[in-house]
Amino acid sequence: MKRFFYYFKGYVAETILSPLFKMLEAISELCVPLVVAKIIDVGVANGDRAYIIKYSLLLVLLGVAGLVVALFAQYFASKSATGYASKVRLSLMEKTHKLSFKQLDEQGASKLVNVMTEDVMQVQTGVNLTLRLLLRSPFIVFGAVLFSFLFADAKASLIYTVLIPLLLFIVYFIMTQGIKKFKKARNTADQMLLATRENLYGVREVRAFSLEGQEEQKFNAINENLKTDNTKASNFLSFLNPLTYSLVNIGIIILIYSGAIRVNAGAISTGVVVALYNYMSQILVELIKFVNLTISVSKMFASLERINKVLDLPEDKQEFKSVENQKVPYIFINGLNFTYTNKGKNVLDNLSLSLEKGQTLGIIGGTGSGKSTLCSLFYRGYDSYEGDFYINGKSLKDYTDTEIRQLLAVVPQKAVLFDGTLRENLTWGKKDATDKELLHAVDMSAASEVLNKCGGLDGVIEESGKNLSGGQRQRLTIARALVKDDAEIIIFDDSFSALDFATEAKLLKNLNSYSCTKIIVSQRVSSLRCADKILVLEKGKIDAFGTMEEVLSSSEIFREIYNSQVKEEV
Amino acid sequence: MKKSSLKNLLKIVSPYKKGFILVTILSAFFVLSTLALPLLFGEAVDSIVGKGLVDFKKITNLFILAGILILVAFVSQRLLNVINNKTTYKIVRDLRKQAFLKVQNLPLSYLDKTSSGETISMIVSDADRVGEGLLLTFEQLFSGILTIISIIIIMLVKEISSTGIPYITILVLLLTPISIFIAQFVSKKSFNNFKARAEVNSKQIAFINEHVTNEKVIKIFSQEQNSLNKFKELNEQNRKISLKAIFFSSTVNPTTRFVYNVIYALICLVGGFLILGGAGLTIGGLFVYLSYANQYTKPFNEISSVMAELQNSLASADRITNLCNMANEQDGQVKVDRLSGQIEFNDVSFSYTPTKKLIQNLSLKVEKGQNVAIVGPTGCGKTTLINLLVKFYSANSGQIFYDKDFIENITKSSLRHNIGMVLQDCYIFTGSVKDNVKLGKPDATDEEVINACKNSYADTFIERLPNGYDTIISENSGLSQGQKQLLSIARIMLLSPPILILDEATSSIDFRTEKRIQEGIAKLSKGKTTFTVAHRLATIVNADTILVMKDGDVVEQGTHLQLLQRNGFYANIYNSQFE
Repeated sequence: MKRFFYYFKGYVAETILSPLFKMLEAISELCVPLVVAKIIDVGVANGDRAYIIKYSLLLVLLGVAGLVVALFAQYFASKSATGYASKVRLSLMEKTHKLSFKQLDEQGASKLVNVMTEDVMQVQTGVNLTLRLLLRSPFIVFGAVLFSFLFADAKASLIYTVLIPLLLFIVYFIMTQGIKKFKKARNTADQMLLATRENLYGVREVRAFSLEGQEEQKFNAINENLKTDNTKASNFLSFLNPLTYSLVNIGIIILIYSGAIRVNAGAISTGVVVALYNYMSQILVELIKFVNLTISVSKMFASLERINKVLDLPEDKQEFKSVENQKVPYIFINGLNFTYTNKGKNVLDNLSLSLEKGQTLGIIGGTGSGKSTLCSLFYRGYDSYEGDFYINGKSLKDYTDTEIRQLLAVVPQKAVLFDGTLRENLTWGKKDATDKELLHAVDMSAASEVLNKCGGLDGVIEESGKNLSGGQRQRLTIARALVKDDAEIIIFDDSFSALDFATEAKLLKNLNSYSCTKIIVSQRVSSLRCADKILVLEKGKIDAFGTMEEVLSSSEIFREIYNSQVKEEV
Repeated sequence: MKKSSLKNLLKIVSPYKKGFILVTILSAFFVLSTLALPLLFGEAVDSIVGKGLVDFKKITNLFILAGILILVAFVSQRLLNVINNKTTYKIVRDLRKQAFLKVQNLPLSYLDKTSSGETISMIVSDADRVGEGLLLTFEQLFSGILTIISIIIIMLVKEISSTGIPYITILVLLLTPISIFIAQFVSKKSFNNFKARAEVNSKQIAFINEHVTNEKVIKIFSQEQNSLNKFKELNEQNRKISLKAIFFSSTVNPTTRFVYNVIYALICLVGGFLILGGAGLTIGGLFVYLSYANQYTKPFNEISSVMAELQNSLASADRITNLCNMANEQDGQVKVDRLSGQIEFNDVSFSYTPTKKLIQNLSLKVEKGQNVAIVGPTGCGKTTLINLLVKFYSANSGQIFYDKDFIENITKSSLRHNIGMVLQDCYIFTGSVKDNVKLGKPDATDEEVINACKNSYADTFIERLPNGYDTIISENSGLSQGQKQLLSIARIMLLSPPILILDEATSSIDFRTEKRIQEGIAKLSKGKTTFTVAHRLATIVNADTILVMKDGDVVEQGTHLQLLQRNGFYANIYNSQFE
């Protein structure tokens, strides 16, 4: 709840003014019957035509005043609601940027996307309506109740003490249950988004395996569920309208009947009964509006809960402690164990190695041997490892994410680019890189022809780089890493897989001009030719570690790879 | 409001006429009972004359009638809502179904060009928007119109029977068009704003999709701030346009309310003068007209706000309709059974964009069972050639024949059933390992799946997953590119189709595993036509024929040895790897 109010910050004035202006509008509306009474009681009764004209004009003036305050109220409500939504959306994005790799794995992109879009939209609608009706409805309801107690008949008004709590209870009950039902529907909506996303992102598989029919079936089933969930939730909530309507009207019957008894006994006059009836009707009209608000508010709270769940995800606390640099090699790993899930087997098992600054480490090993996992530990994708992991004399756990990522330039295994210009994509590693620097990096990564294809640095990269081939994307991601010229370590996570040998050879040669420490993960011996040390991984364990000659003599596996590749090539 | 947009929406709604009609009938019951109820109460109050003069019998009778009316109102409103919800969510469901079906049938060229995020937002968000508008319309539009008509009739009857000339009713009727005019003006403005908002919104959704999906890459490059800044820009755009759209649509209500205040004042004025002029109007009568005028405003307000809200739906309905109106991918009629694997390219030209020529006048004959390798620098058209082979794209000119059948005549699905493809960027669907392998053959037994995985050497890593073959995996679940490729190969091992296409199928798989898979693939491809795209030339030296491509052209063709002897482009590439 505290958070619910937090996002109004910056729109406090609007948020308060909107309901206040709405209240003014209500007051101007409440004045109308009084003026009409004057016209009839004074103007018509006395035959005073000028009086009638004057007071009719006053009615128009009241209308103008109502219009002006209402327009302000609507504007403030719209401004506050859209502002609120955009702030929530922003902080969700911020939060996403703060989630750990593990949390990202757990949450899944679909859900995050859905929360950030549809749920925020529900909240926007909810806030907007709440502000418009928040003060207006209770003001009129309680005003009417108060008036009937004070100016009509207190005894007959006792009916309100039963009716209003009963109505509130019904609203409360239906709303809380409704929220649950809407939440269920929202979760089904997550599934639908997932199915839609996968269908589009995996469209080539879908087409190649003729899965269209199957995909449709899957989608239709979820779609059907969503329909059912939504219908159920809405049906449940729409009990509110007929219920309040009936209850208030039954209230009116009781009111008139008990009034009739009291009039018959001479306790009150007929006029009082009419007044009581009028107040009750006003309450009815307002309550119906209020109930409609309840539906939007239920949806809003269902969505807010989902939003809060994301915002409440724990953040890794990063303590800034200054530690004395240990006298260990530049990269020092000792007894490293790592597992993704607590249950799973160790993905990295008792790893130990060291590397000096400026050296090149080659990592080779079978698919699933833990190469990429080791890379992701470098850039602190996961930090729940056991054992020692030092870079530059400092334990990896003592670095902040920002520090460690500043130190590194990474070419990820999956070559992903983002919607925008080529320049925007390349300057990721160095914000103020000059064109000359960019072109140099492009040249070094043998991506000049890709640059030409895109139409220069200002050429456009489409969503996820889908206007480029895998090999073209890969070279640009290499360039992106090379632009970051202050990196102390560059990690190539199987980044040459889509390159032909000629290009790879050229690239490796170019890399020699970079003096930083390099970590090259590859399946090919050819990529590791310039490596000072080679790590041969097998099922998460070290099979061999050393120079090319050393691993050649000590590792059966490496020898097999070497022989098969180099022999066949030569 | 644009006519075409309305037409779009009507077309969407028209299959649900039944629900429509039911809702209208129920609305009539609801409206009439709610309008009659105050009349009963009024009469009841009239029966309370004073001390000792209350007609309890009449009141009791009136209240029994009132009870029945309340029941009628309750039941009709409840049913109205249920039918309304049911119908609307059905429409939303069908819209989604239709849009999804359309996506399955759109040409890949369209999907490659448009942002997936925007298409997703149409299926997910826009369908919701249409539903929201419809719910409101069904709920309030009919009851509103009915209320207005009923009130006019009641007023007309009352006035004619009491004063002869219906001055006040005429006054109300004359002034009503003003508010309709205002509502229309605002609607028009709102529509444009909502349309603009839907566009900005879908852009933002596309952005969110892209960035959240690739969040890890953003983190690795510490681009959180950069991404956030861009997001802020879009977010601000969205906020501004939303503010405009929402505010504009919300001005309808106060404005029409104002118009009715003026009408109200005029009734007071005219009514007052009529009473004084002795036209037969009484003070009590004036009160009745005023209270009706009051009741008259409410539905007008509702209708005008429905109209404004409807703009949002119309804008979304437009977008979905546009998607659904896109031309389907052409499909052939000939259902081929099992192809032999003989393929012929006859003078084929193709380019993605007319200005940039890619494949030009390519002619080529592949005999059944041949093992064809395609090599060449990246961007030379290898993948394009494959796109043409599997009919992902169609040639601009020239023909491709499978056996004697022209590719355009063959149905997509029967063609693709004959082709097993492993793509470089293979995609993993959320589901168990088993389900992912079974993609092309959903009825495969566990044994078959395990066999296929053993043959593709995916078995070793699968067994180490927490739940083995039942482990739930997805595109972002942490599988490496190589592991994905192993699964992808297992998929076609299970199918064993007559034509195989391996587009860099093993590029991310380690060499030892690759070597072993090669044996498996060799076994699989025996007697089958195989296309292999590979950078590792070692894997293709045994090909029956090698196509060497450059800038969209096949520049050389022959066996490894023949090509080496030619000492041309191929020999060049081949030798470069040993420099």
